[in-house]
Formats: sequence, C-alpha cells, structure tokens
Amino acid sequence: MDHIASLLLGLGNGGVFAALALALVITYRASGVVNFATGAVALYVAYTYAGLRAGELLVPVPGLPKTVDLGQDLGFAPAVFIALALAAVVGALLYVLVFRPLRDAPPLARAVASLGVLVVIQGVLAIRQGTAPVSVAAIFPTDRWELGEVTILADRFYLALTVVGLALLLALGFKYTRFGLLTRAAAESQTGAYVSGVSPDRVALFNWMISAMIAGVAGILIAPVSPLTPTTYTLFVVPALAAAVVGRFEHLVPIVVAGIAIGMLQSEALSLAGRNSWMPQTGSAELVPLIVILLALVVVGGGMPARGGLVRQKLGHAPRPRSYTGPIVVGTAVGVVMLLITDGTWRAAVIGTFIAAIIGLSLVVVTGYAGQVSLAQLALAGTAAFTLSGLTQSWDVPFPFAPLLAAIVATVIGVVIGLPALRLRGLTLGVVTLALAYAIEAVWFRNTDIVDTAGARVTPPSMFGIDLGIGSGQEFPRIEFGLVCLVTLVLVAWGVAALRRSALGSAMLAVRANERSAAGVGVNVVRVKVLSFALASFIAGLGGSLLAYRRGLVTFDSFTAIGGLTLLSTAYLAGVTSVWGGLHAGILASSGIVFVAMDRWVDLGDWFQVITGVLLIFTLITNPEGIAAGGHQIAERWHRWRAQRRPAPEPVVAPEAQVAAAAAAEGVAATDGVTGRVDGAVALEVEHLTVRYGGVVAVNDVSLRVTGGAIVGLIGPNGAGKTSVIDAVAGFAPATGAVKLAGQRIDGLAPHARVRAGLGRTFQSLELYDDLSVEENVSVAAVGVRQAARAAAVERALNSVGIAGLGDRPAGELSQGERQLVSIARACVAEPKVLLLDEPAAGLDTTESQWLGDRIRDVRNTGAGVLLVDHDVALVLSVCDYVYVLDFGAVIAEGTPEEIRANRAVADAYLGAMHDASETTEASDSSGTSGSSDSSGTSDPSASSETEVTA
Amino acid sequence: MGDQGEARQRTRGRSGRRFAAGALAASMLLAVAACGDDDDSASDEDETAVENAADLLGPEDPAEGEPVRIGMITDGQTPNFDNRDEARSAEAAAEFWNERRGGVGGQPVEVVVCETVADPATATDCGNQMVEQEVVAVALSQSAVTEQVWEPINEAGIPMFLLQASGEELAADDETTFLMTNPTSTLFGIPVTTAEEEGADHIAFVTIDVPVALTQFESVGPTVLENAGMDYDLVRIPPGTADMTSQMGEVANSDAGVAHVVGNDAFCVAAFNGLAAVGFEGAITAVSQCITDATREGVPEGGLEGIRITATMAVGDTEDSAYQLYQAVMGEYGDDVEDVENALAMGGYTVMSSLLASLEGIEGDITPENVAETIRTMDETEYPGADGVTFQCGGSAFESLPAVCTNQSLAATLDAEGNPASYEAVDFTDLLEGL
Repeated sequence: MDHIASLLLGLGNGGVFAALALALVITYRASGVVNFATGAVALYVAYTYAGLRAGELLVPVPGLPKTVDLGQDLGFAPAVFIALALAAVVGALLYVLVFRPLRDAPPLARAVASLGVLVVIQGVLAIRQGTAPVSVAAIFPTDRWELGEVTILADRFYLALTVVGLALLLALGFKYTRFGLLTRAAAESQTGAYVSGVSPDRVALFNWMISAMIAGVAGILIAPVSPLTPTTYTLFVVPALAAAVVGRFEHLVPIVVAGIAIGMLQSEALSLAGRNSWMPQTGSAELVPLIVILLALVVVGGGMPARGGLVRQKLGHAPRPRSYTGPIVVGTAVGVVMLLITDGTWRAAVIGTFIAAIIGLSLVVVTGYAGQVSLAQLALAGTAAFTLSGLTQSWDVPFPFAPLLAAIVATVIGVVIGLPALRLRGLTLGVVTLALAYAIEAVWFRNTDIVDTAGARVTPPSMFGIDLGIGSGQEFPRIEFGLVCLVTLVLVAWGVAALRRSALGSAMLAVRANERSAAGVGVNVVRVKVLSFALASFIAGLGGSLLAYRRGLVTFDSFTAIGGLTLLSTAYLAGVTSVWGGLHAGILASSGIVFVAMDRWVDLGDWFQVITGVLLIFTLITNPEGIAAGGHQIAERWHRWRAQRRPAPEPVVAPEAQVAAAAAAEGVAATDGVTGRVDGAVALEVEHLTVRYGGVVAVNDVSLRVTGGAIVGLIGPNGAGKTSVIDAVAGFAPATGAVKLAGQRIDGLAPHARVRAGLGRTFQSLELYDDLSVEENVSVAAVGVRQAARAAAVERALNSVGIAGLGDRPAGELSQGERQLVSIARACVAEPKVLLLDEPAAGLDTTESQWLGDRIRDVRNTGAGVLLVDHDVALVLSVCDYVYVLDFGAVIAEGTPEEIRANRAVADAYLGAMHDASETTEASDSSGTSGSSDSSGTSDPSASSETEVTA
Repeated sequence: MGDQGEARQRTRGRSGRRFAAGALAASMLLAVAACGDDDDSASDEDETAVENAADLLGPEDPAEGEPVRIGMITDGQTPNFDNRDEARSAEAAAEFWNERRGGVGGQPVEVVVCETVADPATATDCGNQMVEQEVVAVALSQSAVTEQVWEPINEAGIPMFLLQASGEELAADDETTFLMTNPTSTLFGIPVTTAEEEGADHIAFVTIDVPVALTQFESVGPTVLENAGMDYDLVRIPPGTADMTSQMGEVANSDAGVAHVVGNDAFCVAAFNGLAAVGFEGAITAVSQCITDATREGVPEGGLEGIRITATMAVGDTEDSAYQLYQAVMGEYGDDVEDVENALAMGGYTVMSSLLASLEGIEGDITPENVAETIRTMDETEYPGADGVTFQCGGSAFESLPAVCTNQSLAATLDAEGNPASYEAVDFTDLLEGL
C-alpha cells in the first residue's frame, strides 16, 4: 500500500512532465526542432495567464509599459483564451523569425537556436516580470481523497487526467483530420508535400502555433502546482525529453504515459530512499528518467524518426588541416603574448579561454568528426575534476600523472556514456547523454556521501619544485598555470588536427556521413564510435582537470547537465567541425575573453542576457555551420590563390580524350587479350540465398558463384532483387542461405567483418564522403593495410581506376563519372577477393561506360572476382564472363553472354525491349530504380540508401 | 548625497551571465545560505520612522584623510534574482559611517564592490580581486558561492565579515573570519524549541538537495539533535522539482511533529502548499527568507498563520530601533537602493555596519592584520540588525566554531496575513552545549 501511496503522490510531477513532453513532441513533429524553449513558452503563457487572472496584461515588448491594466480580474475561461491566443502569436513569430530561416539547417543548429530562444524568453520575463515568484490559484478542486492509507490529491489527479485527455484528442486530431494528415505527410517528406500541392510552410506555421498553445496549456496547468519564476521550467526538460524519447518523438499517448510514469516512479524512488538508509540519499529521482529511457530503448529500440526534408543537411564541412607547424607556432605565440600582456581578471579570462577551448575540442572529436551528439562532455570534465581531487588529496599523486589519470577515468566513463550511441543517432543520443549527465550530476557531484559539502579540494600542481598552480591573491592568476593550460591546449589541438588527417579521423567522418556505407567499406562502426567517445572524454577530462586546478575547490555547479547544453551550444555556434572552431568555442565561452570584454566595455544593463540570446540566434541564421566556417573559407581562398600561382596539375579524367587514349594504348589487350577464368577457383559462392522484407520475398533461393579473375554479371528488370542480393551478400540485408568467401562461411559476420574477410562493395548511390579528399575516401577503406603501406595501397587503387591525379580533391567536387571511379577505387584498396559492384555505370554516358568497363577488367586482371550489377546491359554483356539473370527474386537464366543473348526466355522476360536499346547503347541513368542520378553530389547519401533496401 | 564623499570603486566580477539555466541550481542553493526578498508589508508605519531620521543618524562626524578600502561582495544580478541592493545598501552604510561616525579610525571608507553572479569561478576571481585591490577587510551578506570567495581572501590573511554562511572550514577559522550568525543554532534553534513546546520528539527538515545546504547535517547537526533528544528526517528536494507533494507525503506519514522548511520563497510556497495538501498536522517552522509577499500571495489565506520563523534581522519591525536606524540611513544615503524593506538590502547594510562597528576602537595603521586583531579583541557590541542582540567576535561565542560572533538570533510567529508580529531575540547557547 505504501508503494501505491507514494506512486500516486507523484501524479503532479508526472502530469507536469507529460504536459511539457506533449508540447515538445508536437513541435518536433511539426518542424523537426527539438525545442528546448518549450518550457520557456509555457512559462510565458503561464505568466500571462496569471497576470490576466489578476487583471493585468503582461507586455513583453521593451519600451512599452510592463503591464496594461484591464480594470478587472478575468475569469478562468477568458484568461485562458487570451493567453492561448497570445501563445499562438508567439508560436507563429518563433517560426517566422527563427525556425523558418533555419528550416534547412542541421537539426543540431535548430536545437541550439531553440536554446537561444529560451535565453531570450527567460531574459525578457526576468526583466519585465521580475524574479519574485508568482503563484496562481488552483484550477481544479483541491480536495484530498483518502482511501485507507492512500492519499490522492484531486487537483493532481485532474491535472494528469487532463493531460492524458489532451494527448488523446491531439492523437485523434492528427489521425482523422485533413490537417493532421497533412502534418504527418509533411513530417514524412517535405518533398512529397510540395508534390501534392500543400505548402509545408503553412503546415509548419500552423503546427508551431498549435505547439505553442499546447505548451501554453501545459504552463497554465502546471502554474498552480509550482510557483512561477523566470527559470522554473528549465529543469523539467530532462524528464520531459525522456518521456518524448520513450514515445520516439511520435506517439502522443505513450509519451504522456511515460511522462506520468516518470513522475510517479520518482516519487517512489524518493520514498524508497527515505525509508532505506542503505540507498543513496541523493540522485534516486534523477536516475529515473535515465532508467526509463534505457528500458524503453531495450524494449522499443530505435530512435527519433528522421524527418524527410527537401535538403537534408548534416553537420558542417570538416576541412582537412593542411599543415601543423605554422598554426602551432603562431597559435602558441599568440597565446603566450596574451598571457604576458594581461593580468588579473583579463589573464583569468585568457586562461578560461584556453580551458574552454580544450573542452570545446572534445566536442569537435565526438560531435564534429564522429557525428555523435554528446551533451555529457561537461559532466565528463566534471568526473575528471572530482577524480583529480581524490587523486591529489587522498593519494598524493603528483602533477602530470594526476590529471592524466583523472582524464583516463573520464575516458572509461565516457565510453560507458557512449554505449547508447551504438544504437542511437543524432539528437536522440543527445537526449540520452543529457539524461546521463543529469544522473551523474546528482549521484556523484551533488552527493554529500562522496563530495564534501563545501566542495572537493584539489592540490595545486607543481613539478620539479616549480609551482604551476594558479595561485591566489595578488599572484592570481599566475602565468605558470596559464602556460600549463596553453601547452595542454596546443597539444590537444595538434592531436585533434592530426586525428582529422589520420585513418581513424577519416573513419569517423565516414561514420558521421553514413554508418551503413562506412560499414560497407570495412569501417568497424562500433569501434570508431567507442574510440571517438574515448578520445573526446580523455580531452574533456584534461579540460576538467585544468578547470579543477583553476578553481581549487570543485563543486557541482561548474559541471551541471544544463551547463552541458550551454557548452554544446557554444561549441556549435563556434563551429564544431574543426580545430579552428574548437578554439572559437573557448573564446566565446562564458569564461572566455569575449564575455569579459562585453562585460567591461559594453554596458547593456539588464538586457545583456536577451541581447546575447538574440545574437546567438542571428549568428546561427547567418552561419548555420558556425562562426569558424568564415575562417575556413578564407583559408580555402588563400590556398586556391597559392595553388593558382603554381603550375596547374594535369586535369585527370577528361573522359573523351582519355578514353580515346586508353583505348589506343590498351584497348586491344583489354577486349581480346585476357578472358576471364570462368573455371578458376571459386571466390564467392552463394547458396540458397533468400531475403524477406516483411511478407515480401525479395530474393528467393538464389545460388550463384563468382570465380577468381572473372567478371560475373547480375541483370534483371527493375525490382528483380539485384541490389537485395548484393546487400544480403555484403551483410546489409537479413538473409537465409549460405555465403562463402574463398570457401569460408561469412554469412554470420557483420558487414565490416565481411569486408575484412575480402569482400569489397560499392553502393548504387556511391556513398562517398564529400568532406573527405579522394585519397581519404579510399584510405578509409584501407582496413587491414599497415599504416606504412597505406599510402602505396591508396595510390595503387587510384591508379588502377586511372584517377591518381584526383587524390587531393574533395570528393564533393567531382563529376559523376569520377565519383563512380572513386567508389570503385575505394572498394579495391583492400585488395578484396571479390568485388561487388552495384550499378557502377549509373549516370555515365557511353564513352564513360566503356572506359569504366576497361577499368573493371583491370580489376579483374588482378585476380579478384567481380560481381557486377548494372542496368547497362551492353556493358554487362560486353565485359562479363558469365551472367545470371534475375526476375522476381529468382534466377531465371545463367550462362555466358552469348548464351544469354541467345536465350529466348531471357529476351522475353527482360531483354526484349532492352536488347534493342543496348545496341544503341543508351546510358542507363534514366532507369527508375537506380535513383542515383546524383549529379549534384550533395544530396544526403543516407536518404537514398534507405530507400534502396526497401526497393 | 548619492555618490559624493568618497570615491567608490565598482569592480564587477566577470558577469558570466551565461544561459539562465546554469545559474538555476545556484539560485536554489542561495535560498539556503541566504536571504531572499523579504519584503515585509508593514510599510504604513514608515512615516514616523522617517520623521525621526535626523535624530537617529546623530551628529556629523566626517572622516578625513587617506581612504581605507573595504570590499563588499554580492552575487549581484542573475536571471534568477537581483541582489544588487546588497552592495548599494552596504555603500550607504559606509557613507553613513564616513559622515556621522568618523569612518574607520577617522579615515573614510572606500567600498570596493565585486559581483559573483553566483558563479564559482567568478567568485574566486572576486576573492582575488579583493587581494589585488589591497582592501583591509571584506564584507559579505550572503552568497551562493561563499566558499569560493572566502578561500583566496582567507589565504591572503584579509579579515572577512559575513552575515550568513554555512561552510565548516570557514566557521572554524579563528584568525580572520567573522561570522554574524551561528549556522548551527540558526538552523536548529527554532525547530528544536518549537518541538519542545509542542511536546514532539521528531523533526523533518525540508531542504534543497545541494551539498552546501546540507553542511550542518554532515557535521554537528546530528549531535545537536541527539543532545536535544530529537529524532529527525532530512527531506531533500532535488533542484527542479515541480511538485513537492510526494516528499511532503513522506513527512505527513512520518511521526514528525515539526516540519522545518529551509529555502527561498518559491521553494517555501511549494513546500507549505505541499504540506497543506497532504494534510500535515504538525507545527511548521521556517527560515525568514521563506516569507515574502510572494509567499503571502502563493499560500492560501491563513496558511501561514502560526508558522515560527528564524531571522537574522528585524526587517519591517518598525518598533525596533535598529530597524529604524537602518531606514533612516537608507533615507539619507541609500537613494539607489531599490527595495529598502527587504532582507537583501538590510543584509548588505547590516554586515557592513557590523564590520564598521567592530572597528570602533581601532588604533594605528589600518592594515588587514590590525583590523583582524581589533575585531578579535572587540568588546560586546550591539548588533545593527535588530534590537536586543549583541555580538562579540574572537571565539568567545561558540568554541567549536570560533569564527562565530554570537549565538543569538531572532524568532517571530506569523500572523494570519503571514507577517511576523514582532521579533524577539533568542539565545541558543544551551543548544550548543557539549559540542
């Protein structure tokens, strides 16, 4: 009974979380924005409602009177009506002014913008409304129902009930009204909405208005429970987000149920902790959202549904650093000068800049390079800071070792925090890391069983008898400590730059671009993710240790979960994808020099916070990739200019001339000289392969074999299952049957393991990493090749397809034909035993196709077996030694090209029309399913890869 | 008078007015160590007090010569609170001393202000700035980041005068730290005496779950309560709790006869309403910063009646001559103080006045060492924050926390409107016996 009683007492909090979660999700569905400002909107509406009930209209506009006297107190209904109408206006303004301009920006940019909105609304409310708490009369009857030992508070019960009712209504509304249908359609695909004649803009606008009203309803419902202050609703966002994750940001009723459950379980957890002295007395409530999320992930799986935008942008460009020496020398010199010419607060700010930049660089690694959104980096810095206290105070570990050990502890914890990343992506991962940071803060940093109530003391660093501490009093801040921070920063920055140029860095960018394709070229995605979290945590740990030394006394408030949100915002705004951006993050951090300068030189008075928020939003709209992007462009121009002064390298694939030349040089040999060894050793053997998607059998009992040194073709009409066969062989599609590579079964292996076993593949949609240079693209796939031999292997692969001259060019700049060749080179670099080529001629014209055919022969001549899927039947029949024909998922014919040409069944089923076409050698890019007429080279590879599987 | 007289220096700490959220926990924390807006609504009776202002202020006795720098540290303004009145009223107090009380040893006081914005790093900077500015003493009314301010100042041997603080290490310093309230007796005095009056032997302490708020419970608290024969529960409310009914339900279900609420007004509104909602039948006690106009509005009518509060200043008690003097000083020197009838403003005045009062007899060069020595050997002096309370620093009040200058504090019972009828001085020395 006790348990039921305490669960029921959590109804109030549960209702609050559920209401906010509802508003969060409505916004997300409407516009793909994880709107951290939802609580702030709710708060504004609640204030307005409270004012109206007291006969005053709150005017949030600077310059106007703070309130307008209405002459009389309004009743419940008119107050709610006016407050919600104003909420709709706020929603519309937010969309038009902030989120519409950002609609094509990366999701992370929009989330950061919503933090800017949060700051602005909070700031305006603090100025216009003051910080004194405002209470609101109860809406529901405040009876107390006593059933035996169980007490239910009527108003809390009605609150929860109202929220559930609201969720049901909204769910039904979205399901059965035309507007709901349009919203769902627009959420699925903006393009689709355009095609069907609906303006997704208008749908989004209305949804923003609705979501602001829902937030307003939440605010009004919550107000009687919790007195209003400008920051009241900020911390409710973690449990509300947890509830939203449980419903996958989609299903309203489960979300509301989860919200209420979190509130109730928190109540129970607190009650258990109160009754059992062995339980931790701090943090049990904060652990609940995390546990609920993790359970939901195990049970439900998956993450946030991705919304299909017209242009789906990911994070910004991650340019490759060109040299180290110059930047390091200049950067160090600037740092030293900054330390020398400053003192007191200014020098403290310079040191603060260094430390913040180090922590910012940890985000560059995990989020900028590897694409894993982590809101826990500040918490990780905190784990190192608190560990450092223990190491220096209890264990007397000396200076360079203590912070390194502390950073290693942070690394271990960081890897654990990164584990959900193995199943999650994008902002869902961000939410989970936020919940983790929230839990760490509560169970560790705020736990008085572990941390002294005054904070954790850290022994100042010293080495060889030299005091490296920050000092105190007149000495503060000592330059020695500044130099320690500077040296650490330079080392970390150098390391992060070197990482970008390393194979691991390329693999991280590959994972960031598209996990599936990364696995397809042999990148162990799990390993890369874990390593990125480990490296980033180590860096954050170093930063945290320095912060601890700077403080001397470590307390939780430097490392809060909400602070982690601020950190990510700053890092994103600065430019999260490069070292240059990481350094900017330090400069822009609230402990950095920009804030001190603003504080010293510009007197913005009360409006400081609001103006900061507005600037943040404005900067995001003008630089959705962050401020550092400007620096990259300047650097790029500088290098172009320098390059122009040098003799231009020879243009590489100029198909016309080169094809002709190639044909002249090796044409004869290529076409007649070496024929495939159809009877060679079997390289790939597929037996009874069957692939089912739901009830659909995509591939039915297919058996085929590819011998070493032979090109085997796989053709068939659209939807015949060709790509499914490749996917199943490569491990991307679940299949039954056996796949043997050189006699070894590989069908149980993960995709990257198959690549390592000697199975290379290309993708129909290429899946190149546009940020990476051609060399890097190929190098990512050079798994199992020793570091020393890697450059040679890459060069060999590029040579084998004739694009050696393209090595330095970013893949995003290439023509379609060149991209095809890069993709083949990438598949060849690890010298696979068998190469699966999926539509390599897509998007090529006839001459290019012929040239490509020659290159494929070259690959074959190295002894590899090639399985070639293409629509260009002319190409297939001309280069293949043996051909399988697939229709409706089954093999309907096989044989040499001549036999296939002669096979009437094949001609009837498939070749009839195509045969003529093949004589005129049509380019195959008009085909419907290939979907890879990717001439711009900018569209998101993952979009096409997802459709490909279900084709 | 405004800014005439001595030049004042305002060195603001770095105001990392970062995203509002970051400061939230700090502000909740502040609720514990601190006075929130205590806006007593006894304003009708102001007039009489102001009339006598000139008498209260006394004759002119201007200070002359080289100014003496004294630091004043405040949390200033954050999105969660605006404490800037603290520094303004402290400056007014210094002005008053400079013109009517001969400053410090005849020399005028120059106040050096630093704002921490409740941020630990900025607080450390503030402490260091005090050293840099060569102040001879530092005053602080209350702060969310007291420890961080105190550290560098204490290390530099500069005397520091605090109205309220809870840090153990700080209170244990017998050299240069002087604390105007006994953290132990202030926290436990009223709930224990109330429990004794009610015949109860079990107290529930409701407080925010951040480390600083729990200092007393991690140190002498359990012993004090044991000595007084009291059982206790520590009910910790995590920051960001919307609805406290579940924790208050635990309180109601326990056999606690007294619930003692420690927090700011927003926290207390939620706690009081939660206790009422779950039908808690015992007595309620609270700290004075619980009770503001917002609390009076937020708690249903009559809900505050009978609540016993502890206080450090007689804010709003117009019968109290110390409060009358405060009002007179504010009227004369505190033009820029936005809200005079408030514990925040009075706190700034009180701590600065206490510091200056303790230096009445200073002789010789005014150095930090001399100032500290003078305070340590001061005579028993009237407390500027309320009638009937005296203080004497130097370790005589409470042996185990030598920084403490008095064991006395104030108590009041709220009437039906939620106003403290009048404050009485209470001495909790008994409670501390055997510690």
